[in-house]
Amino acid sequence: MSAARLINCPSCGGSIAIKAAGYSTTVACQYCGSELDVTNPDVRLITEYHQAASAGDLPLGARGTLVGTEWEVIGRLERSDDGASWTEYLLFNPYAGYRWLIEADGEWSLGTALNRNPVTESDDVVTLDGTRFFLDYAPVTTRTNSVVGEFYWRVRAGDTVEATTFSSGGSSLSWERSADEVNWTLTEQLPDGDAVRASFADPAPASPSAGPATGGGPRQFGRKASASPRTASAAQGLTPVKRASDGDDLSKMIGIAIATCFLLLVIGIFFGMSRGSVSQSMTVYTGEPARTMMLGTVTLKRPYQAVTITARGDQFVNKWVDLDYSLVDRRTQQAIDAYGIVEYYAGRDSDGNWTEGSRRETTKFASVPAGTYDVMVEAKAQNWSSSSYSSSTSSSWASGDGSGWGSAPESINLRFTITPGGVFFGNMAMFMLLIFAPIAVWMWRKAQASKSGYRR
Amino acid sequence: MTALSCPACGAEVPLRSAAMPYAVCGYCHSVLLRQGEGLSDIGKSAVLPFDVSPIQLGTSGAVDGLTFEVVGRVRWGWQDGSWNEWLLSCGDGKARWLGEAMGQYMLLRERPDLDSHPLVDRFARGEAFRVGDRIDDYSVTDVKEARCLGGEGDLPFPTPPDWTMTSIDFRDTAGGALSVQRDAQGVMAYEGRYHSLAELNPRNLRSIEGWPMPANYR
Repeated sequence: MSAARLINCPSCGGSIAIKAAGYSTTVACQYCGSELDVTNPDVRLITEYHQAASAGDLPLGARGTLVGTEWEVIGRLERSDDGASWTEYLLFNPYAGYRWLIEADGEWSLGTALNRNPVTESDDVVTLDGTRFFLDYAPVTTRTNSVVGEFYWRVRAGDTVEATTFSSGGSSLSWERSADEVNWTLTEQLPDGDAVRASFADPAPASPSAGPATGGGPRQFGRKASASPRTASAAQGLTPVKRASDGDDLSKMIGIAIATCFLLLVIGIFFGMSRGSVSQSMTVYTGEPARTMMLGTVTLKRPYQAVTITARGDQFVNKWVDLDYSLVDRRTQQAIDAYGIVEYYAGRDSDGNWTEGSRRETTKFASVPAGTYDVMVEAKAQNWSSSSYSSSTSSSWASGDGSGWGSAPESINLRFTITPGGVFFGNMAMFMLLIFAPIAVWMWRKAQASKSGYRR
Repeated sequence: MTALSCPACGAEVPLRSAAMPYAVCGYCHSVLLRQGEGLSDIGKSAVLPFDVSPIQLGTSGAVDGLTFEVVGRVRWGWQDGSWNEWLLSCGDGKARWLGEAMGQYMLLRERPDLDSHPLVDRFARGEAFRVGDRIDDYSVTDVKEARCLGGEGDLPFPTPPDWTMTSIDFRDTAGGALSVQRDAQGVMAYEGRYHSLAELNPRNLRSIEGWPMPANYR
C-alpha cells in the first residue's frame, strides 16, 4: 500500500503527489499555487492562482525528526491577525497523525491538536492537566493569507476563524472557532530553532563527481595521472623503431578499434551498473479501470544516469497491459514519464500455431538527474478477444459496464524490477560504428590508391 | 474466516464476522446481503476513495482490557473533508465503532438510552446543534453534514452512495467522546473516549511505503 497517489494540476499540468491521500482534501499546486480538491477521485480545481507559491523556509516534502518521531512537511499556511503574522507548517506521519510546526519572528513551536477541552475556570483562565493558562488577548479574527501543500480539510486562502491563546511559560493553548468547529491546540516552544531548520533541511543532492578532482581522489578516466613528468632523457631513451608496414598499421588500427569498443562496453556496463534494485508485485484485472501503484523509491547519486524498469507478467495469453511509468522527484515533485506494454497473444490459423508479443518488457529512462524518486506505475489490463467471441452479449451478470461473459475480468500478476542504471546498446552500436567507419574509409581509399599505382 | 463468491463479479468475498448481514465486495464494490448460506447483491456501494489510514480490515488491538478486531469500514465525506468509521468486533461479543479523523481516534459504543435525552430528542425532531451547545459535561466541538463515500468489509447495513446524515461530535474535559448522528432513519447516539493510536495497542496495521512501521506496532 503506497502513501501517494499521483495527480496532475488541472491548471498547469504539474504533477503533484498527495502524501496523505484520503485524509487530505486540499492540495495547493506548488508550481502555480492553484488549489485542488482531492476528495473526488477526479481532482477538481477550486481556485486558479497562476502565481508561483512563495518560497518557504521549510520545503514541502522535507522530512525531519522532532521529539523522536519522523515527520514530513506536507503543507504551509501564512496566517495573520491584526497584530501579527506567522507561518504554520503541517507535519504528517501516518502512524503518528498530524502536528503543527509554527514559526513566528524566528521562534519555533510545535502544536498538537487536543482531543479534550481544557477546563474553564474563569473568562481568562483555563486549566489543562492541572496547569493554569492565562488569556493573552480577547479573541480576534485570524486570517489565512496563503496556502501551499495539503491539509486534512479544505483550507482556503481567505478563511477566517475567531482565535485566541492562553499562555503558561513556554506552553500555550490556542483556541480557534469557526462556524462548525472549535479546536484547541497545545503548543510547546522549541528553543533551538536552528536545529528545527537543520532537521527539515532538504536532503542534499549527492555531490556530483564531475567537479575538479582534488588530490588523493580517485583517478579519473581521461585525466593524466599526476606522476612525475616524463623527462627528456626518457624520451631520448626511445630507439627509433623500424617503420612498420601498412598491413601492420591496419591490424593495429583494427586492434585499437576492437580494444576501444571493449573499453566502451566495460565503461558502459560500469556506469550502467545496477546498485540496489527494487522489486514490487501488482495484480491487475482485465477491463477494470487503470490501477496506480507506487513501485518503490530509488535514490540516484550520479549527476545523470539511466533507470531501467522491467515488467514481467505471469502466464497470461491474449491480453495486454499498458504501463505508464512516472519517476517523481521527491524534492521538486517533477515527474519523468515513460511508457511500456506487456502483451502476449497466441492462436491458430491455416499456418498452424502462432504467438506474438512478450510477457516481459524493459523500459529505460535516460539521463535521470540525481535525486530521490518515487516510482509510480499506472497499469491498465485489456482482454484481446478474437472474433470467435461475440462481445456484444449483455447479461444480467454484467458488472455495470455492459460487458458480458466474454470479458469477465481476469487477473494478471505483474512483477516489476527497478534498477538504477542501464546500458543503451543502441548508443553503443553507434559508437562502434563511428570507431570502425574511419578504418573502413581508410581501407577503401587504400584500395583506390593501390589501383592507381599511387603509394604514399 | 469463511469466503463466498460475489454474485456480480465472482470474486471471493471473505466474511470476517458471522454476525454481519452485509458485506462489500472488495473488488467490484457491490453490496452483498447475506441470505442463509449465500449472498445476494443489493446494489453498488460507493467506491471507497484512496486513503492512507494506518488502520485496515484485520487490524486488531486492545484498550482498557477490551480486545477488538476491525471488520468493516464506512467512509464519510463532508463539504471540506472526510473521515473513517471502522467497525470493531470486540472480545466481549459486542460491536463498537472507531471514528478516525485528523489523525485522532474515537472508540464509541451505541447508547440507544440517550434517545430519550431532551436535547437528543429535539435534535431527532429536526433542531440543530451549534458549536458550544452542551449535553451534561459534553460540549459540541464539531457539526457536519456528511455523505457516505463508501464502505468495505462486513457492515450491519448497506452503504448506498446517496446516504446522507448530520453528525455532531461532543467532547468533555477528560477525553470522553459523544457522537450523535441523524439520517433519514432517525437518530443514534454513541459514547466513548478519544484515544491516540498508541493507546489502542494496534497490531497488523497497514504498512505504508516510505514510512517505517513503529517497532511497538509490529
